[in-house]
Formats: sequence, structure tokens, C-alpha cells
Amino acid sequence: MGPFEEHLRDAIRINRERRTLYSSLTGGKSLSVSNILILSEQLSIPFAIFTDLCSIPFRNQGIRIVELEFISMDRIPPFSEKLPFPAPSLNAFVESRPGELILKLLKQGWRNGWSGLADALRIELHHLETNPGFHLMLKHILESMLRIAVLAPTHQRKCLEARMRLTTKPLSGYLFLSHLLAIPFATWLDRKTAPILASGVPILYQDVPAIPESEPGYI
Amino acid sequence: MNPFSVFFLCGLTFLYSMGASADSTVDRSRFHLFNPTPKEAMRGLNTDRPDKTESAYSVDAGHFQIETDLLVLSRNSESGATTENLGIMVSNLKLGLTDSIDFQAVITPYTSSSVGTDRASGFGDTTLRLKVNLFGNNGGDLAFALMPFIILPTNSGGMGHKFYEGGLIAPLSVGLPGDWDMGTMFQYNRMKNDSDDNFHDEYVTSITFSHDIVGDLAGYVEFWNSISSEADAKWTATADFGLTYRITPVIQLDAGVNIGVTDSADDLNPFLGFSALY
Repeated sequence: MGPFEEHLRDAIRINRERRTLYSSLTGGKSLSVSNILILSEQLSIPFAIFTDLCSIPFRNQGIRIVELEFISMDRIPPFSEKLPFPAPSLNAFVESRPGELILKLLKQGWRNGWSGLADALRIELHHLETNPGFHLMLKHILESMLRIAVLAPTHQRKCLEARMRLTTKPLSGYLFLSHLLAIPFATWLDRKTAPILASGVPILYQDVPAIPESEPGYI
Repeated sequence: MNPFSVFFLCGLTFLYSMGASADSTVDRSRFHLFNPTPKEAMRGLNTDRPDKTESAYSVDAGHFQIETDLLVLSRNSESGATTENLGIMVSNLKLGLTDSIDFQAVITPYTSSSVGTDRASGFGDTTLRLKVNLFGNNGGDLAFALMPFIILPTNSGGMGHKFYEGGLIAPLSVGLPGDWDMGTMFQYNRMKNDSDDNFHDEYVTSITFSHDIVGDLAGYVEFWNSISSEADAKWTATADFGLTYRITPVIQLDAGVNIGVTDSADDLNPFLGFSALY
């Protein structure tokens, strides 16, 4: 099993285990969110297999594309019944505008390349901090995109160093694009999750791993 | 190096290399509606259908293309109610305006909808679109286009509301190794609410992979999904499968089925269609 597929299958297993726990905490209100999350992960499996296959020639040469982009689900916190901070007020929830965000990122990518994208993503992630406790799936996607943007130049450099005829540029681009296309879904899921988070139940908060920007030993 | 400029540069480099061989004697910029692309310089049939992901390629200047759902059915059971829809001759009529721009009119001459014993039928809405190919139209592994569109409320027989809607589609076509083709699309819709006279945003994304199977028969698999900002809107997603068969280089038959993978999507949406380029 490839790294992306493994990441998804671990996520499906954990979300299934936690589905009933969240449901009992919310009187069944969280079931639809859990089911949609699991379904979206299941639907992503064919794309994960495709992505993993594309990464094999690089991983065989020690270029850890895809492997490093997807963080182990072992890093998620243990299950807890409550948020570790006061529940945010639902009135404070500000809806994201996925179309604007996608355009902004495309513009940055076009003008300033991976480094420009990384800067734009850092700014967006900083903005999300002004609405703490919400937008957890969008945060997860943006963190993942930031990691892709930070790792991409290193993968490319290692390709050159290994004198490979292939380049990781298209695969990094594909990974980034597939995340970009997931932004509308992420914002929608965050809207669905907001009332549950406002009730203090830490759904999503403790179900996705925090994604560090880079991999120190690799870069 | 910019990741998107990599895509763009790959396409442009290939385009220019093609230009050195096949197109060196053809100045495509001189072709337009009233100076059609000659047969020997035409790109050939490239369709938006049968999958839902739009193609990034435009129709040759001065040529006409029709893409039709001869018959399209859909069935959705949700919250105890079953909705069935039928469309006949739902057609996308395309006209090449320049080498990289075509105009499209999507018409629905007959559509019917039934929920339980309630039934309505009539003419459907008309969508006017403009496809502007930005690169990759004439060769290369990448092509990208922008497609603004407006939906005119031309429906009759209670088949819709009387509000104008619209949006923008951005399709990207990618040639993959092993003769696979990938298409992906981002679409923004500004649509009227079901419950009141206000409008909401919709975001559609899709990805499709296609490959020749045998001879002129090809197949595709697609994932399509839509998210709405309307209150209480559900996630709509489908897994789509279909076949295309080239009868001649300019006529194509297709058939397929779109299967709902979320509750709010149509459970089953089979269709049969054809496309032709003149």
C-alpha cells in the first residue's frame, strides 16, 4: 500500500471508530458530518492509488514525494470529549469564500511560484487564526498545501542531483491542484461542523494531524 | 520555478515545437467565423461531453459542432420522495468564432419531471457560453480555457424559475503518460435559492481520466462534486462512467451512467448521445 492510500485508510478507520463516540456526545447531530467525512475519504482512495503509483519511480531513488506530503495519522491527539479551550461562539463563525481563495492562490502561484504560494498560504493560515476553533478542515487542507509548496523545490533539486530523466514538478503540481479543488468541500464541511464545535465537541479538531511546514532532515 | 508556469511552459514549448513542423505554414490567427479553418488545418472533433468535466479545447474557427443528449434520464430517491427527470435532445450547439474562441448555446427542447403523481414538462432553460482557450489548443500535453456562461430562464410548463443565473468554468486538460488523458475543472455558479428570491454560490470541481479501449472505442471514469452556500444545502457528488465510439473522425456516439454517491445526488443518471463536427 502506498503512503497516500495508507493515510486515507488510517483516517477512515479512526473516523469510523470515533463516529459513534461523537454521535453519543451530540445526540446524533454529528453523524452526517462523520459519514460525509468518511465517504469523502473513501472516494479519494482511487486517486490516492493513482498518486502513489506516480510517485514510485521517485521514491525508488530516495525522493520522498507523496510519502512526506501525507502526515501519519498516528500524530492525531487521543480522543477527548471536550475542546481544550472554551467552545467558540457560533456567532463568531465567519464563512470562507472558496472562490476568492482559489483565485488568490492561483494568482500567487502564477506570479511568484512555489515561494509565493507558500507565503500566500502562511497569510491565509494566519487569517484563520482570527476565527479560532472553526475552519478546521480548511486549515488542514491549507497546511497540507503549504507543505507541498515547501517540499516541491527540494524534490526537484533531488531529482537533478540523482540525474533522473523524470522530474517531480508535474506530480507536485498535481498534488497542489487536487488540494486546491478540495477547498470548496473543506469550507462547506467547516460550515456543517461549526454548530458542533460551538457546542464544545472537538470533532475534526482532534481528528486531523497538525501538519508541519517542512521536514528538517529532508530539506 | 513557478508550478503553474511549469504547466504553461510545457504546453507552450510543445506548441512551438509543433509549430516548427506541422503548423509552420499555417498562420492560425487569420482564421475566424467568416474565414473558416480549412479542412487540412482543422484540429478535429473534441467534445465537452459525455463526461461532466468540460474540455479545454475550442471548436475550429468557422465550423459548427453539435453535442447532444439524445435521451437522458435521472432518478433520485431522497427523504421518502422519488424524483424522475427526462430530457430529450438536450443539445450544445457550438460555433467557432476564432481559432481559440467558440460560442455555445445549450438548449433543452423537452424536459419533464415527476415527483410521485405530480408531473411537469416543457422547454428548459438555455445556457449561453463562451469558451476562450488560453493555451494548448493546437498541441501539447496541457490545455486551459475559461468559460463564462449565463443561464437564460427560457423554461416553460413550470420547469423552473424566471431568474438569470451565471458563472465561470475553468477546465484544464492534461495528457498523461501511457496515452491517458486527464481533465479537471473548477466551476463557480451564481444561482437562485430554492426557498426565496436571493442568490447563492455554488462551487463545482471534477476530475476525469480517459483512455482508448480498443480501436475507436474509448472509456472514461470521473468524479464530480458540487458544494453550495445555500442554507442546509447538502454535498452532491457522483461517480461517472461512460464509453465513446468514433464512427468517423467527426462523428462520435457515447453512452454512460452517472451514479450518485451522496444522498442529494441523483441515484442513477443514464444517458445516450452523439456529437458531430461540420
